[in-house]
Amino acid sequence: MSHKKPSSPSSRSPTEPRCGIGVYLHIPFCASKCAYCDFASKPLAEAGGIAGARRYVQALATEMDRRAACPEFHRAEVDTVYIGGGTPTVLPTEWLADLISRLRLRFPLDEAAEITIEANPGTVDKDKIAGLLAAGINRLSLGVQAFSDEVLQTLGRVHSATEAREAVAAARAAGCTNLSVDLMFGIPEQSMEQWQHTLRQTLDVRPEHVSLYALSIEPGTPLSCSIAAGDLPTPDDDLAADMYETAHDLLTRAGYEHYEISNFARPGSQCRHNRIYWADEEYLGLGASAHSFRGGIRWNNSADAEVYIQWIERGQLPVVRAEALSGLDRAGEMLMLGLRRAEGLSWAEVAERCGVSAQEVFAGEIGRLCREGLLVADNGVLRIPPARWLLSNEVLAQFVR
Amino acid sequence: MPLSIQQRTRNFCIIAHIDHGKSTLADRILEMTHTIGEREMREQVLDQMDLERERGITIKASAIRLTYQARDGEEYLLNLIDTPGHVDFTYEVSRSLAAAEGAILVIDAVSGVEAQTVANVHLALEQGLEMIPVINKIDLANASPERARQELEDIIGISGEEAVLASAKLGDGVDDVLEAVVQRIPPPGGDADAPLQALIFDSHFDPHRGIVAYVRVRNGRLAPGMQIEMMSAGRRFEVQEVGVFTLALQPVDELLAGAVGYVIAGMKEIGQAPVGETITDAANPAPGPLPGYRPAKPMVFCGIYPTENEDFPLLRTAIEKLSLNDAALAYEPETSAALGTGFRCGFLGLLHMEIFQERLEREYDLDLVLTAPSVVYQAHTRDGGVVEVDSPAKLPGADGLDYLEEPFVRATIMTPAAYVGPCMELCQDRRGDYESMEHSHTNRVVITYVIPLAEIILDFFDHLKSRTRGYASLDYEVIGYRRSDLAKLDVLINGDPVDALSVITHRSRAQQRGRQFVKRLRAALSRQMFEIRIQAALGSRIIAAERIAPLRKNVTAKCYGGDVTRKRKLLERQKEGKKRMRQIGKVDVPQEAFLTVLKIAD
Repeated sequence: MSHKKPSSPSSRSPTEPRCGIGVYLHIPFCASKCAYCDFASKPLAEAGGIAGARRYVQALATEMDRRAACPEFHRAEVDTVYIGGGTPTVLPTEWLADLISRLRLRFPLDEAAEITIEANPGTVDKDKIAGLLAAGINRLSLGVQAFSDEVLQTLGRVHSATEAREAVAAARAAGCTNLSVDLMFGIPEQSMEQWQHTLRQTLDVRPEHVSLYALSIEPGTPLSCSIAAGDLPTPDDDLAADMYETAHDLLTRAGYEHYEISNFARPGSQCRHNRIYWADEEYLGLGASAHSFRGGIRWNNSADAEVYIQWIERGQLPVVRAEALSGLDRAGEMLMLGLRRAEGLSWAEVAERCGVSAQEVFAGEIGRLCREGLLVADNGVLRIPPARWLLSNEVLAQFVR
Repeated sequence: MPLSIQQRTRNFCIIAHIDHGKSTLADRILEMTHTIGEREMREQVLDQMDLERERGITIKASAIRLTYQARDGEEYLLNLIDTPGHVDFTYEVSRSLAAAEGAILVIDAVSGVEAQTVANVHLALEQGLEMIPVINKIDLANASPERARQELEDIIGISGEEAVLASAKLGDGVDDVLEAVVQRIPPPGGDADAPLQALIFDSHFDPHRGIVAYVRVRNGRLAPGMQIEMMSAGRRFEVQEVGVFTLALQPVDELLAGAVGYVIAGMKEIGQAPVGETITDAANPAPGPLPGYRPAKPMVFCGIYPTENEDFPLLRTAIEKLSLNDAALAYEPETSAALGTGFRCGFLGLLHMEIFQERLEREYDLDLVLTAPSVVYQAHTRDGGVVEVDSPAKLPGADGLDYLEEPFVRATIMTPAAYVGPCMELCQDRRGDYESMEHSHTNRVVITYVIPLAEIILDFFDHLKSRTRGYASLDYEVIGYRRSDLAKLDVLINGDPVDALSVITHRSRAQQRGRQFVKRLRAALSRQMFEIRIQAALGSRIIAAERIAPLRKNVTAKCYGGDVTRKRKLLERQKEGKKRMRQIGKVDVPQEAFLTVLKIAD
């Protein structure tokens, strides 16, 4: 294990290799299920209430202990932590604080580590946020989605636009200096005016970071049923494309870097944890449905919280699937992930990590994509020009099997 | 003096329209002659293929031998030869008839005489067969045997007095039918001591024994060990086995003049024992062959392609195997820029084509794309030559082409008088020329039109049925070629012609079909990264066009919680989907697009 202390992310060049790992903690509970959501999450009331949550958090702590004892994670330096869900803030603050303390106990946690928690308006107030900050959390990702009640209603969110504004204000009042706001576009019946309004309201509060997600209609969700039944229109792809371009213009003009397909940050405020995923670096996922990547192997835990708990209680690791990547697989994944970033990635990185010359393996695909203007290669670095990010899947699909 | 075997033999078939109860009657006959016991009784034994049973129609002729104790105390050998009931299979009917001396004509007491029945009766009368009309389904509440009798006289010209009344379902009257077979149908003629003449009327392929040829011995005898000769092809074979058709093949010592049976003689391909061929004794040949019957000529052609190119070898095997039992099928390899490698196949008609397609899909688990069915055109070139065009791709270029001819049929439609108007409208609509109209005493009308075959094979029958609430029936015979104002309609995607979508069409129809094609294609294609122009063209003239705006958005959100696998799977699915598509120029076209565009009915 390297003893080199990780440098601060803003000073590190994007291509400089990290040596620490990120840790993801999954909290599969929420206040109520949103209409579009197909993530591993259940309303607390349906998951055995607070007692059920207690059992889960205990299992999560046990998994943390067990992983820390595994040779591959022994003394692994942790430099980012991300608590996601669900809505982790439905849990009592002390439990979350305990999880962070335990993490600090089991792993060397970098003093400057980025520790993010996802929160939803309506589940946090100033005191709650102050408590989270006191527990060591230093970044808040707020699931605002929209500053428009009609749109929030379509999405089946529990909060209102007013509550969203109050949550942002509470975060600032509590002293949060690293705030991210999640927004969604391409929603049925969402107008360009509503979207521009949401973007302007967002800029008013100057979050350090903004994530934009195009709504994807997942089969089996209430939203997809409403569309199938004709109660809601199918989202208009052209309008969604216009919304994305509008957001790009407004946010970059306001000083945000569009540093990844879905993400904008004020200088120095890129999300270090998510960068791990795009940079093909290593992370440990703890909790139901959590994914991990270490030593060239990807694995994931059972997505069923009850199964997860039972396996942990039986003394087992709750892994349901593991996959060892070949050099070629990994090279493909590096391209698939790294090309999401504005800076792209270099041949050298791929060759160094995978022992594969991407230039040669994907020569045909890359040549064609460059001719079509979907890719740019210069000075050994490959990237997708921002104007083609909306079509990025057309590029990224070329690098999978 | 006891009757000879020949005198106690009766060879007959059953002629009926679909659903008039032929198979049920055949089953009752088998039961009553104890050919099969209750336990072995399957519904409709003669229809062997699953497909036939499902569609309720008989595709392949089949034969069976029965023994019947008649009222005169004699035991008779009855050879029942099955016949198909659909217009596509007129040819197969005629070969069944050639093996018999008589025919039972089944007429439904409710719906009366239908167009195809008339056609088949004419075939039977031409062959000099004795007809036994049977009015079936007399048990039904709305049965009208008197009307059926009247139609027999008016439409077919057989005395209604002779008809036997029966309910095959209940078994009533079936013994009268058998008695009539014995009394009215003459025993087969022919001389067992004369040189061998045996007519092949059907065959099937047995993977272990080769071709099993079904024969009717006209003169002489056929026995194992004989050297036989195919009289027109001249090839010789040694007879390994002869036999008769019980439920299974039953070997016998010999087949004598008048017999219906089978012969196995080491023939490997259906071409070595073609239907209509005369078998004779190589050592003592007959002076000449028996009159053959008109050879089956494929009338409808289409391209058949595997959805997945790698399935081509399987398709080849499947077609070769099926062709062993299907003398009417024509096929040759064909290559399409859009669809890859496949076969150009010729069929007797659309039903034949559909059944063949279903067998390929069902028995060989193939996913197929079929191109639009086409008739065979005759292209007259400027240098005076004539080219047979069974595929739009084979049409000579405009500079070499003088004019085109297309096949015409005489279509006979029988309909209740109330639907005469809609039937005539349909025929006019399909470029039909009115020929005649006859009324029967039972308020039924027989209309004849001369119509291009191409119009019939599109969706004529479906339209006829829907315009007459299913009451009209159709028969047609090809009467020859006539000059027509035809043109090749091409579909272009971004300027590239899609060969699989080209059709030859009458100029008056081109606009409508062109519009339909581009509209359907537009709906079947997904947006791509550039604009797609879809056009229909007659030569260089664009007659219909649509466009699809470029794709602007194909993006996924971040990989949630590091779930790289999910994202990769999603991209893999996208890529896999594209791989399954055909490329026309740069445009990805899904297989379904071809199916959708070529779909006949709306």
